[in-house]
Amino acid sequence: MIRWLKDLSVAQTLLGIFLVVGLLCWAAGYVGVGGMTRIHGYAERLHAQRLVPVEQLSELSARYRDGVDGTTQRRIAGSATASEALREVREARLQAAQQWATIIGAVNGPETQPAVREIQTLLVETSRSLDRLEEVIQSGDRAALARFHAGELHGALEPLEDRLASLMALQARLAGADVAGARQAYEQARQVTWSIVLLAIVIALGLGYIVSRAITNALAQMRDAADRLARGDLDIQVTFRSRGDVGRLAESFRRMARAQKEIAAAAVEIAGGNLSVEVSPRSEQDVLAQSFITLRDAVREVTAEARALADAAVAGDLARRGDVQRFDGAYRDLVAGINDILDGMTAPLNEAVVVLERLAQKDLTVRMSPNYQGDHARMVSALNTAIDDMEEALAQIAASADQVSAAASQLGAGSQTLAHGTSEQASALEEISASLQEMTSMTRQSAANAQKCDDLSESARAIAHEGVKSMERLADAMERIRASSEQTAKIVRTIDEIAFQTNLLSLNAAVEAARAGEAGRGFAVVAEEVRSLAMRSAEAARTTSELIEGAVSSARDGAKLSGDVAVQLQEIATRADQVHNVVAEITISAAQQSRGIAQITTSVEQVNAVTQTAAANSEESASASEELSSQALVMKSLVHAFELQDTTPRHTRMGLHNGSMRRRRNGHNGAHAVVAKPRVRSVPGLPPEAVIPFSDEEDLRTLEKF
Amino acid sequence: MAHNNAGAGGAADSQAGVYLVFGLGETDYAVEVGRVREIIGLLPITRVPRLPDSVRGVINLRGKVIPIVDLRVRFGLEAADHGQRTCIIVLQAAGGEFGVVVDRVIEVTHIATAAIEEPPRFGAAIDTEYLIGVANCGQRVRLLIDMDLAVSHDELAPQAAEPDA
Repeated sequence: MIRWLKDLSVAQTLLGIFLVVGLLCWAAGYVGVGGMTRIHGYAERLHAQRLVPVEQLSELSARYRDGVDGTTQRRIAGSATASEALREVREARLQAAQQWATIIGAVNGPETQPAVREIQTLLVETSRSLDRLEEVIQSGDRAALARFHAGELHGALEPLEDRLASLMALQARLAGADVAGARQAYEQARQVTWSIVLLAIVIALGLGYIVSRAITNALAQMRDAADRLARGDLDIQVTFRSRGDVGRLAESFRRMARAQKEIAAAAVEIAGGNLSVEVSPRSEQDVLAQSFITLRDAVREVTAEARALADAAVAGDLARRGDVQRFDGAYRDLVAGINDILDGMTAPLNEAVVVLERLAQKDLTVRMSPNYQGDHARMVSALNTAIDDMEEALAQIAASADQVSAAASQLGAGSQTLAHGTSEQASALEEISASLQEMTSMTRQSAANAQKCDDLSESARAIAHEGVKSMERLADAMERIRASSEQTAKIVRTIDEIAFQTNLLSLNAAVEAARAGEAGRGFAVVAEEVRSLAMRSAEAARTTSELIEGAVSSARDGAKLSGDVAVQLQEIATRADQVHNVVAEITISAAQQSRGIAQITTSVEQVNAVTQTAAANSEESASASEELSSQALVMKSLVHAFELQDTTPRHTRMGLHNGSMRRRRNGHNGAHAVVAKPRVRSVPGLPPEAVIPFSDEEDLRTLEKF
Repeated sequence: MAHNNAGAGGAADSQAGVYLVFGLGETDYAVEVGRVREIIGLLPITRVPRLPDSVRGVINLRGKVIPIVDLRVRFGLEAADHGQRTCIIVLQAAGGEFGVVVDRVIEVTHIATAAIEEPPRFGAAIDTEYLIGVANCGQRVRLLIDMDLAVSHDELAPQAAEPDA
């Protein structure tokens, strides 16, 4: 809302505020007028439907009370004639009928409808009573009239007057309700109108505050910005933005500040040496930008001239000079100064060129003349010193070449010895490897034997178990033999008993035969035969019994023996199990042994590889030492090609340097020994397998040192 | 005694020389076969109170009650248990039937009169009157027993004689 307000122009804003306030005023007026109209309606209805009917009802009631009842009483009293009374009664009835019609026309609301209908009914009845009253009056009988008045007429008029009075009371109540409605409408209209008026005031104040605040904030920012621009401070902050008048003014301020900042930044760039900076004039009238471009072009020209001279000097063209005529003022002085510098530099360079050309022809006796000052003198002295140092270095190189040659021959001899040692080591390793293979096959053989032994012990165990079972069966068989032998013994006893009885029978028969005398002789023979058979069968039974007793005792012995054998077989099975366990341990040990031998074999292979590498390296170092020797010879011949200044100081210097060289070499040798010693010491201290597999790289490194 | 023996011998002349041989302990005895009624196996012997030691009791043989005489007591031999071969020989002697318990019954055999010798006389104190003679059969000696005397030694005889008389 605020944002949208800001984008409007000032005129639009003010117009909008007045429009809003006017609309609210119109709404307040509308509501007020509506309320008054409703109050007016209430007042009209109060007058027409409530007050007028009440008055007419009162008159109607008076017609019946005075016009009918009063006239009748006067006629009864005799103060009026019959015709007068009749006329007055008829007039009163007519007026009452007219007034009722008027009342019905006015009172037609739903609240009064039942009362009106009731009164209508009563009026019809009363009309009939009044017809009879007229008849009674016409008859002139005052006594009858008095009776009629006290009876029927009174009975007809009294309820009518009651109903009329209650209708009047109802009308008065309705009038009171209408007044209350009018008051409520008034209250409503008043509240709504006041509310709208207050709202209009609040909105008008609020809008006025917002708009004035927006405009004054922006104007304050721009006033500050203008002050700072006037003081030359380009770092202004105008944050107000809108599409309205004030927003456009703020945008102009920002553009102005931005343009000045660009020029200032370009000037800083040129001051920092960046001449390629571009400034675009904002219009034809941009004097500041035009002047800035002119300044940049001038600086560009001078620096281009200086750059060209420097490039020529770098390219070796020392004869080129700057064009002084093209520049004025301080720029001219600058170019002339550069020309002077070039003139001063060329002279010593030319002499240096001559000296260096002599040096190129390997003549180390030439020197530069010492006729220069300052940096040039330093250059001459440096060049001369360089030639002196080079001469000295060549002398030292010649000496070093001798020493290198000697060292190379020593190195060659050492490499030969090393190669011999490594080949011996390699053959020893071959033997170790062969032994290990033999050991491996033996271990495998012993593992196979252990397995075979295990199988044998297993089968022995199984056989022993089988034997135990057989022994159990044997014991059973023995038991059965014993049982059947006992049965047999019983049978034999029975046979023996039978034989005994038979013997008795035969004896009885013999006795009878003997008694029979000669007649029984044949029978006696038979009895004798029977008896001898009985004796024989008894004898056979006894023999059988003895044999069976022997068999039973043998079976008992057999059972005992088979039990012993079963125990022994069980012992055999236990021993076979023990053998199995022992053989399993042997198998495990053989496997461990085999693994150990495999590890040893791997280690020996690694040692072999290291030895092979050492052999190759020693051969390489032998050939390298030969190469070094020949290179030393070449170096000596190269050094001798140089022409040196004199010999006497060279010898002393060489002697000195030889001494220092020897010292250094001794020191070097010492250091080498110190480096090599721990390795020599450490090897016997540890087992070979601990050193050999894990010191491959170290060994290679030490080997490469050779 | 002699006429008794002769009477018996006369009644069964054809049986003369035929003996039933039985064993008691180590000794073999022989009795005339005419006296023998029956040879039976050992039956349960019912002891009867107030009998002499030589009478073992009675048995019931097929409804007949027969007294059993123990010859070991009679002959003054040591007592011995019954064996498998122990038998009862039912005899007709002293006017009644008796049973004697013997260790074994050996045979019914003929003994020649020539082989029979007079029993040895050891003295008045030694009672050998129930011995008829001693038969010499090969290497063995068999004692011929007078069963009438053997079973009717004491009070048995009158009792046994009563039913006969």
